[in-house]
Amino acid sequence: MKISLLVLGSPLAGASADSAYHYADAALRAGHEIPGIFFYHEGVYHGNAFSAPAQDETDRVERWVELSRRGPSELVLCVASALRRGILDQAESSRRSRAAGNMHPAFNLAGLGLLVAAAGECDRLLTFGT
Amino acid sequence: MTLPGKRLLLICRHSPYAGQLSHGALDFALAASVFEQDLTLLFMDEGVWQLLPNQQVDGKSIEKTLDSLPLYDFEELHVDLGSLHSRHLSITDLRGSVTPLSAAELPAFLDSFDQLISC
Repeated sequence: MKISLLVLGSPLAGASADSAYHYADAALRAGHEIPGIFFYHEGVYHGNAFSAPAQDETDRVERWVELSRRGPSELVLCVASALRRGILDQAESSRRSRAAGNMHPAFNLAGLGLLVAAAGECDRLLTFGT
Repeated sequence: MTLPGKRLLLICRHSPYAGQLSHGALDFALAASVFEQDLTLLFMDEGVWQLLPNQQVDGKSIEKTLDSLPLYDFEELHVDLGSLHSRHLSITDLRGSVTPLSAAELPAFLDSFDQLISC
């Protein structure tokens, strides 16, 4: 089955983002396809390469990166949500004269059209977080 | 872009001014319309507050976005009657063109869509 995920929650606020990861992990292991994972709203913080958790904590950014290679699954941040929250790739960082780009290169910035397309193309679209 | 014709239901569950998600959900609706997707809107839980008329706010008004929906071919909005009643609201308190759905009608309504998106 083709499954897409919509992640609305930030990595550390509540368990919804962890649930999203574990669901995706289990679905891939069960042989399903996950073509795309969409991070919208507070979910865009999952793409922040500057997050530096303590050694005894889970690295919630790297975990998605590893999963996306395994999928392969595209990791997509909603561009409007991301820019508003200070998650910028190199190109946006230069364009807006910011000191650095902090988006992990395994993620992509894209518009909502990509989520709309996923909703049309996949068999299931699951929302995580409120 | 040509997409398979699926029936999408967007469930708006967040109060209008308690964060960005109420706007985010409607942004999704507008994007779906641009891509000519068959999308229907249902308001439930705290989302029913979005449907009150005469909202006076600083900043971006949800009501204005809802007013613009007919331009994007959304003529009809749906609301969960149970969510209204538990908040001491009735259908007459809301803006026009809202179709109420009872608890008995809701399961078949939800089941008639291919994808549910909850924002």
